[in-house]
Amino acid sequence: MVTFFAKRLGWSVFTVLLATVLVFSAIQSLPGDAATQLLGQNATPSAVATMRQQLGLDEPPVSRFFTWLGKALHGDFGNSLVGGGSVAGEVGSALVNTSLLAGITIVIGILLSLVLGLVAGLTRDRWPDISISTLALVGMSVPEFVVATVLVLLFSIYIPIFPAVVIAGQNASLADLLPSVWLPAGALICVLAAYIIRMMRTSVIDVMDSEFVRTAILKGNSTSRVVFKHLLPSAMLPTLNVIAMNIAWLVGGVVVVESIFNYPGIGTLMIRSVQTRDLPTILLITVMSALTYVVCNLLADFAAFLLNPRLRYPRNSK
Amino acid sequence: MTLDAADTTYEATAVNGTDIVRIENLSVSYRSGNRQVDVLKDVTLQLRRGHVLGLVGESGSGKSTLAGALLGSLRSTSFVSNGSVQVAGQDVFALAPRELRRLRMSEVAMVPQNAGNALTPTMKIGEQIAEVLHHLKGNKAAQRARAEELLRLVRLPNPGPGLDRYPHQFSGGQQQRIGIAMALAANPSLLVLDEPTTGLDVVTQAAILDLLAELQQTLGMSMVMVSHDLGVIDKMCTDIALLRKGAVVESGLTRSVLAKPQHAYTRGLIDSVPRIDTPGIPPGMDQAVIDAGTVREGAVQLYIRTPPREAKPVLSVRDLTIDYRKKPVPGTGPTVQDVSFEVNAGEIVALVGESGSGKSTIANAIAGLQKSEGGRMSLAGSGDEPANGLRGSGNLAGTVSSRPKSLRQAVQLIFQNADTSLNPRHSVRTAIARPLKLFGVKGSTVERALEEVELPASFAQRLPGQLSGGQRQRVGIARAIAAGPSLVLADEVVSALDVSVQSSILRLMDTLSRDKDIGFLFITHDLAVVRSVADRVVVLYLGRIVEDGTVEEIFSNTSHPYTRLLLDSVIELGDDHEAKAQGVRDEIPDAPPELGCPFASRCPIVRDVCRTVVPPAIQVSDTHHIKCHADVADLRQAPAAL
Repeated sequence: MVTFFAKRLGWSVFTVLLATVLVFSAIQSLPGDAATQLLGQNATPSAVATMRQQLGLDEPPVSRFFTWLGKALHGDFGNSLVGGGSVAGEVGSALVNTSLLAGITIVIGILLSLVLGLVAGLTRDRWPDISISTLALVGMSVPEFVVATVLVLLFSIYIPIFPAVVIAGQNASLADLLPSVWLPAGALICVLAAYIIRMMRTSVIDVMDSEFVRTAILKGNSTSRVVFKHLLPSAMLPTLNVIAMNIAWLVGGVVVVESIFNYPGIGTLMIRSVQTRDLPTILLITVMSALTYVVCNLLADFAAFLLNPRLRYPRNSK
Repeated sequence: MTLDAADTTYEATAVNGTDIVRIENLSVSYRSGNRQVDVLKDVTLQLRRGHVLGLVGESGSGKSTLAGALLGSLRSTSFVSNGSVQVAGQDVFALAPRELRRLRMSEVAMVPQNAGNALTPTMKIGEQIAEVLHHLKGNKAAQRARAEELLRLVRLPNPGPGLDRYPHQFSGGQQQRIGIAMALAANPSLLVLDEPTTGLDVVTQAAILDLLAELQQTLGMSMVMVSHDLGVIDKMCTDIALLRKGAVVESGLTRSVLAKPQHAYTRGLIDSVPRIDTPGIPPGMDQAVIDAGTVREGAVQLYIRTPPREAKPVLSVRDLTIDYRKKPVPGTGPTVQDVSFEVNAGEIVALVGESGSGKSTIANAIAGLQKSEGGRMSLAGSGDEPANGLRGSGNLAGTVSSRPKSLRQAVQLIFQNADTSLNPRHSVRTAIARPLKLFGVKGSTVERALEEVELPASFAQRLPGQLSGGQRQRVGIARAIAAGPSLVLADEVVSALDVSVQSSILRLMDTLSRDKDIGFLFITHDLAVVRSVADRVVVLYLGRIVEDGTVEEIFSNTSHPYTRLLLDSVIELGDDHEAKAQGVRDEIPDAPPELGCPFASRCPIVRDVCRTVVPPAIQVSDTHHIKCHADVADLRQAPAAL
């Protein structure tokens, strides 16, 4: 068990490192660099050269990568080219805001979709299943910005209970954000839930057909015991990876939704940084997304390990 | 359908209201489009308390549906279109969900066909047994104690620690014991068993059936046992009902029905079972004759196969060693060690042994799907190679990826489950055309290949889902033969088939081996099938050969103690089952011992030397070898293994 996780952890570190290298080289290959960006189009070549020297951009990329990595490991991700403040601080506060949004989305979204998927699977081809599956299909096919717009139309214009956009800026406190987090969360849940519901439904149907569920029913167990003790752990297993992938997708999904609602999170920051070619910020955000992917998958593996005794106790270790 | 009227005692008690099961005019159907299809047709049966009813029939006869109906369980698309099922005086299908649950909790329990799939993989077995102990609800300690007692009752080794293990940590035989313990936990008055031993090898099967018979006696339970195996039914059941196409064609006391069958179907089933004491392939069942209802008179016409006259080796295996262990485990030896045998052209050689004996491992090594650690395997294409030069020869040491095309062509496989080994989306034509094209076989077509396995050419258009089990297996054979092989590895090719189809597939193997001079390595655990079709037999135990010889020699009275154990475990129609009851037999160990004879731990005539020295091969005849430290004389008189 220890070796299993040591191995997974080792691979995770490697994955993040690889992602960092790829992102760093991708940014290097873009035309122009921080110096030209800072000085603008009309800068003289000599000014650019001086700037390069100041920023250490004249060194070869490999040594620059290791300098960056060395500092990054100590928590220093450099300074923003636009604001001049520390990138870590800026990204950090955006990350906290996004975590609030993502946290609410994940908790509500996953619970909701697991329950709906379970209900759909258990009532296969009857009306609850048909309505849930249809809704899930709609959720999958409609892009999140359309969902977001419809939500704004419904809940801030026709029935004005939620603010349409976030007015509080980058430094808003969590209390300021709380009332405005629900609409973006709703938009994200709609899209996130669709995939998990469909996966959960399929998986519940598969396990319902299994001989062990039939046996559990024939043993005279109550329906709730059959569902929660016999069916659910096995039905959850294939769903776990879909959940992990969807949480990781959230990082990308928030970009669109946050910018629609002007929510001061990582997505908004990302778009702004891309527009201003704020390379250190882009680099950190991208590394953070890679980290999210890896952590989500690691958690999914860990959950699978807890749910599946065949992983915990391999056949020959009697 | 009424009970055997000649048996008056049976009738008399049935009227007295002591029946545990009363099925009256039961019809079960499902709808397919506008049509109503009957799965069960007008079934009427009774079972007295304390009696055991056997439900016999081929696949699709409705016997499992009938067994499920006793617990009020049908497929979600099926419904009762007529009649009723009464268990312990309650009309099962008229019960409210709550009452049905109570019936399943107390009166009737099911032992599933494959406990490996029927035990919840994510729950400890102690918990799975405890949840049936409704009368001890809330008392964890008492539940645990009772669960342990039940596991002891079914003779699971280490019942205490076993409670905290998960299903996958047990062997197939042990899982089946757990399934039985779980069913017994509710103290049911009726136990329904759906093919309880079908997936198990003969030795485990015999042990489980002895256990069930003993439990039935001591607990005074009534049982309904579904099986396709007439030997098992003959041993276990007081009463029998034969089902065909959803209807009961004959029923009554087992002894009298099987001794003097009144229906052509019963007669046909009995006739198509191969026997270990009689050589020859039994006749297949002619459905048309059964529909006509003529009961055959006189002796069964068995087909006796003639082995090839001269020995031209096709496959030669010398000192084959295969090791699954990543690092040496103290006290254990390699999975397969020093295995040597030959298969001649046109010959059918059977490789027999319990599950875990290494049969499939050896076949995989020959097929190149499994790496071997030592020894030589070669394919001889010597002598009269066919004019088209299709047959390859050469060294089989490497895996498939390193073998030349001609060699891959020369070794072909047929699998146990034709339904899972054929791509369900590819037509029969695609499946058979593949080897023809891949190996550039000239002068043969898909139609020819189908003709050789006695299927009409029109079958080329069909998908595997549109074929019956026997037809699919023929397609599997056609695909293997189409390549023009000199050696065919046939892994349990008839064990998933009904007996009536089984004989026709065996006849086909016989024909192909003679007409095309193909050597067959036939892997099976079914000794009666071996007796009917094989020319020579190699007996394996824990990856080591313990005996080899011609089929007569293996089935003669001079045998290795392990072969004797296998032969004694076979349950056949008409055996004296009481005299044959063996008591407990321990299971095959997990790994072969490092030293001495592999069978030493279970051998009834074991000596000290057996645990340290590898036994020598005793040459009983030119063709018959037994690896044992005992004298031939001892082996001839060896007592039945315990």
